[in-house]
Order: sequence, then structure tokens, then C-alpha cells
Amino acid sequence: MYKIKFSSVTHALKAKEIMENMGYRVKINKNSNPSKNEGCGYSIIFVGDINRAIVRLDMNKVKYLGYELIK
Amino acid sequence: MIYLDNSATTYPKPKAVTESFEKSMYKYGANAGRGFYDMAVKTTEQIYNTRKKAADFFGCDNPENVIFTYNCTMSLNMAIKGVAKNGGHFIISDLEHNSVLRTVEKLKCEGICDYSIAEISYDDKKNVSNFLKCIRKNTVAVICTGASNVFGIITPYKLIAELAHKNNILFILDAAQIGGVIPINMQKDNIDILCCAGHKGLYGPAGTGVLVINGDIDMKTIVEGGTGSSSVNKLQPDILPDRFESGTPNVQGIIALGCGMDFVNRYSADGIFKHENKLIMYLYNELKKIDGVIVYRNELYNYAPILSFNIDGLHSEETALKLSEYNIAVRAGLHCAPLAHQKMSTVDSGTVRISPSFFTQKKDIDFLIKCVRKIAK
Repeated sequence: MYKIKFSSVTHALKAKEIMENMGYRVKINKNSNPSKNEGCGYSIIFVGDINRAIVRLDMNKVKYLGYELIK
Repeated sequence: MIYLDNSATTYPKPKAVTESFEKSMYKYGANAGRGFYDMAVKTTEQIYNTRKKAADFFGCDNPENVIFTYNCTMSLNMAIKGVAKNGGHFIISDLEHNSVLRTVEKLKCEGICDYSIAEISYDDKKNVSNFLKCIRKNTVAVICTGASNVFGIITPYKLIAELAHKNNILFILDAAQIGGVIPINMQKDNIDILCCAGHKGLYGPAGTGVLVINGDIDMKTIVEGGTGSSSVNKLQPDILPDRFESGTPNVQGIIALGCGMDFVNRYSADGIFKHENKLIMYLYNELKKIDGVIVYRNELYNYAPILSFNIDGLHSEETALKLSEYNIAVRAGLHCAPLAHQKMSTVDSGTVRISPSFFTQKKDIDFLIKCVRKIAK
């Protein structure tokens, strides 16, 4: 399961939509203890291929702060 | 009441718009893009949906490049002041509204930027030459309305935008009078920044407007504050739309604006134009027949469905007042566009402006004609 972090909720929602169109089940999340650099604290959580997802987000000019494997 | 002041703001609004506005007061009452409780997330998603609709509506690839404002004036101020540079220069057309003229004039008075006014002609060769003559080395942007809010003259904005791009100059379109009436595609039409009211041809509520930025354009902010993002940073975030959307947005207005755009899409901008233009052409042909009525149309120009006229011996405000006694709502005076009135030599009298909407019927125009006939006698 991966978590992709965003500094803007608009980009988080755009990413969610793009990845749902890729066939992933995506959940939007707000970090309970965001660090100073985590912006709005919004993230999306999904199970799937992070590399494919990131390429698609980049192609669509979605701005994310980073991603991590969470489980 | 017969409402013919739709260039100012459309009335009535489609039922779906008013219902959505009321419903969202209850259902989406949270602030958007801040909290994470259920209603806040749903409200944020609704705002995003309207953002997507606006991006599609204006041919912009990225919904995040749609900035919600409170009206077209605010969008234009944000665009013009956003791209203004010290020692820069703007070109505006001679049909611009005060939302453009006063903004560039203020920049001029402050010694920040200068500006030139290019004449709009019915001859495209002249238009190219008029705008080319105004270009300077330091020209930052050309700002042009899609259509005059007074006379309805459609400007050759696509041609002017192309010319601006050939000269590496930004093109800003004031789409207040054409959004929802003439299809616009920012990518195809070379529009860098589009400013549009939400409450006119898009049939949204008052207090809505959009600023659409096509691509990565270096723009300063004119309003700073909380964006719900990067809060630890003392500086405004760079990311769109957050950079230009400080403070609580007009949540219910934006959601209802989305329904307004759905309404326009259902009938198409072309379809709405045809309906309104048919009424205006009928009105034009009938008013021309009335002695003492001056109609401001030159058949060499292309027109949006807006018509200005006067009655001999009456100030436009007097005519409007008399029409209001018949329960006809029209706008008179200068319509905040002194440049357009200078062009047509109507500064002293102003004009009476008729602007129909999707909801205007032929019988409304018939009644107007009957009343104008009585007043002109």
C-alpha cells in the first residue's frame, strides 16, 4: 500500500481521479500529524504499481510532495 | 417584469442553479480545502467538480489552473496586476470596460506600467496594423474584450491573440460578454489568461468569477492569506490554484456555477447565441423603422446579442426610466465603458442597452418595441 503526499487538496483530488481511471481503488486521507513540509497534509492511499501511478501523475502535471510504502 | 439586462447579470437563473445553491447551503456548508471531516471533504470535492467543468468549458487541460474569483473585474485585476512588471507596457482595445481601463490607468499613475489603446475596426487588416503599431519592446500583454459590453461588437480576439503570440506577448481575454454565448478554446485560440464572470452567460450566482491560466505563467498575487496549504510558509505558495485563492471561497456560489455551466452545455453556447441573436436581429430591424430611434449598429462588424439605442431628445437614463414604468428592466448610461462610448460618440447621452438571455421570449421583445414606439412619439 502506498501513500502519495500533496501540498494542495486540488492536486490530491486530481490524482485520486486519475488513479481511479487507471483502475485503482484510491482513498483520500489527511495525515494526523503532518510535518512542516507536508503542506495541507492531504494524501492518497492506494494498492498498486507506484511507478505507473507516478508516471501518470507527472504526465498530468499533478504536483505531489513524495510517496512512501506504508504496508 | 421583462428583464433585458442580462449583460449585467443573467436573470432568472436556471432552476437547477437556484436549487443547487439552496441545497449546498445545507449539504455543503463547510469550508473547502481545510478540514477533513465528512462535510469538508464533500464540499472540497464539489468545488473540484466545478473546477473541472470550467477547465473543460474553456479548453484548458488542467483543472488546477482554474482560479475562482468573485467576478470578472477581480479576475482582470489579478491577471493584469499579476503580469505587470516595472517599466512594462500593455495594449488594450478601444472597447474595454473600466475593469481593464482603470486597472492599467492605475498602474500608469503609479509609474509602474504604461499602456496604449488600439482601435478595433471591422477590417481585420486594419486590426492587425492597429495592434502592431502599439507593440513596444517592453509590451507585457495585450488585453482585449471578446465583445463590447455596450454595443456588442465582437472583437477579432483570436487574430489579436495570434499576433500577440507571434511577438512573444501574453494575451489576456476579457470573456465577460462572450462566456457561454460564444464557444472559447484557450488552447486553440492562443489565450494565455481568460477572465470571465460566473453570473452572466455561465448562469451562476452573483459573486462568482473565474481566472483561467493557460500554462506556466509567472504571475504575482494581489491578495495573500490562508490557503489551507503550506501554512508554515510565510510566503504565498507557488502551486495553483492555492496561490491565487486565499480565504474562504464562495462555496455555494461555485457549486451552483457548476450547474450553470451544465445548463449552458446542455443547450450549447452556439444554441444560446442563435436564440438570443434571433431576438436581437428582430429588435434591430423593428427599432430601425421607428422615427426618432437611433440604433448603434454597423453591419460591417460582427455582434454578440447586445443592442444599444437612443431616442431623439431623450437622455438614455430618461428612456430607461420610462421603460421601467412599463416594468421593462434595461441598463442605460455609460455601462462602465467610456472608451466604447467615445468611439461611438455617445459619451454625453449614454445608450440604452438591451441584452436578452436564454429565457427571453419574442413576446418580451414585442412588448419592448411597443413601449419604445410609445415613448418615441
